This record gives sequence, C-alpha cells and structure tokens, in this order.
Amino acid sequence: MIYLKTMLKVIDNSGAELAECIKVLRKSPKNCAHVGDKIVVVVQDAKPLTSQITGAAAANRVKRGDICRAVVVRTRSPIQRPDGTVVKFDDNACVLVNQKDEPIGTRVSSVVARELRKKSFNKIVSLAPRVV
Amino acid sequence: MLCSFSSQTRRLLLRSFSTSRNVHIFEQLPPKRSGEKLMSYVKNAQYQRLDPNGSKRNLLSAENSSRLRADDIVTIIYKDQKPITGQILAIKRQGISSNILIRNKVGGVGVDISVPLFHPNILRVDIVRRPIKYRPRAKHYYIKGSRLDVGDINKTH
Repeated sequence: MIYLKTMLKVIDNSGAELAECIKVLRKSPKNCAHVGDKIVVVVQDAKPLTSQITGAAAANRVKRGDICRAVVVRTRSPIQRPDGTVVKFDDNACVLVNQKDEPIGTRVSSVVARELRKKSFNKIVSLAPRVV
Repeated sequence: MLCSFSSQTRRLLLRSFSTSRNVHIFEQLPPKRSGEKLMSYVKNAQYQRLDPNGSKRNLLSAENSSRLRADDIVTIIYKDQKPITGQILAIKRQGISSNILIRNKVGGVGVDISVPLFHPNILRVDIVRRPIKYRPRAKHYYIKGSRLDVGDINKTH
C-alpha cells in the first residue's frame, strides 16, 4: 500500500536513505503500489557525498531533494501468494532505478520479496543478499 | 359424531376418511453415508485427500503433547522450494485451511509468513527448538517490536 506521501527506506548504495512517494506509475489514481510496482520518489534523506567514493558509484549518487524513479521491494501490507502463503515485512522499502528500469546503485543491502522476479526485475533480485 | 356438521362438511369428512385407508406408507430409506453427518463426512474426505497419513493433523491436535505451539522454532520443508525457518507466533486451527504464522528476522528486517499447513507442496514441519518455558497466551503478536522479539533465526538453532 504505497501511495502519495508514503515514506520508504532506500536499500541500495545510491546514497539515498529515505524517500517519499509522489506518484504511482501506470495505475489508476485510486490504486496503490505493491511489490514490483514502479513509483516516483523524492529523496528526503541522503548520505553526505565524500571524496572517498569514486567511479560509477560516485557518478550515480543522489542528493536530498532529487526526484527519481524507484521499485517497491518490500511492503508492510500483506502479499498473498498463489499457494495461500501470506508474507508481511516490517517496513516499506524501495530501490532507485533509472528510466530503463536498471538499478542506479550497484548493491542491494537487505532482503527483497520474490514477487520482483515475476515482474522481471532480475537484476535487483540477483543483487539482494536474501529473497523471501 | 358427524351429526353436528353440515351435510357438505359431513360428505367431505367421509370422503377423506375413506381415502385415508388407501394411503401408502413408504419404507424408510437407508441412511446416506451409513449415518455419518454430512459436514464430518466432507471434512474426513478432505483430510484423506490432503493428509492421508495424519501427520499434519497430529501437529495441530490438542491431544498430542508434542504438538506445535506458539514459541516453537520450526522449519517448513517444501517439495519444490527452499525451506523456511522461524518462530511460531500463532496457530489458526480451521480444518484443512489451518495455518501457522511464523516470524523471523532476515538481515535485520522482520518477516511474518503465514503458511497453510495442509498445502500439498509442504512435505513436513520440523521442530528445531522448543523453549524451556513457554510465554503466556496462545498468540504471541505482542512480541513484535518489543524486547521479546525474535532474533535472526537460522536452521542450525
């Protein structure tokens, strides 16, 4: 249940830590985003940019106030699976992506839901340390 | 006895009396399902289909002293997917749609998974560890986000 004003954790190394949803993409206005849906977010909290980070990681850093696209990877609201299993996470989390649906960061730091594979976000699933 | 009625009523009554002699009373039919109540018959048929050896029913039955209880750490073994481990928060007993709610912390994030126990994809449920002393209450929703919350449980516990 991700919609306007929902605050999400950002779990990649793009530099963002907290993001606020401002739009759910390709859904009717009454709908909300679930795992695997794309949203537009504003970065509300980001790690400070230090000179130690170099290369691709530095070029892809985001700042506070940046507007990005993101994919929802965990939701607090229950996810019902075809076999009757229901999965609930303790927080809402997302991964920032570019216009081509490729993740901006190079790492995903915590668990993601298995539903992402069905929506063909295979890159994020393979980067994640655990898939539930 | 009939003298108090009108002639028309008397005629009707006589006719009904005369026909009543010819009423055929049928033999009682044999009871269906050899007398078993419909709902218990349906439930047994479901159990026969989804749990023929009774092992899953045994995990939930109140008579079994080694039944599943909230606070147990269990591993659910599937036919075609990886096993999942966690601590039981609640057991919902409702026939073949019974399910158990297990909780675990995966990389610091709490995950609650409600599993339908009689799903044919579930091979068995292994009890990894039992507590020395059980917490009060049958449903342990209150441990979430408190200092009693589950830790990072893995299979080796």
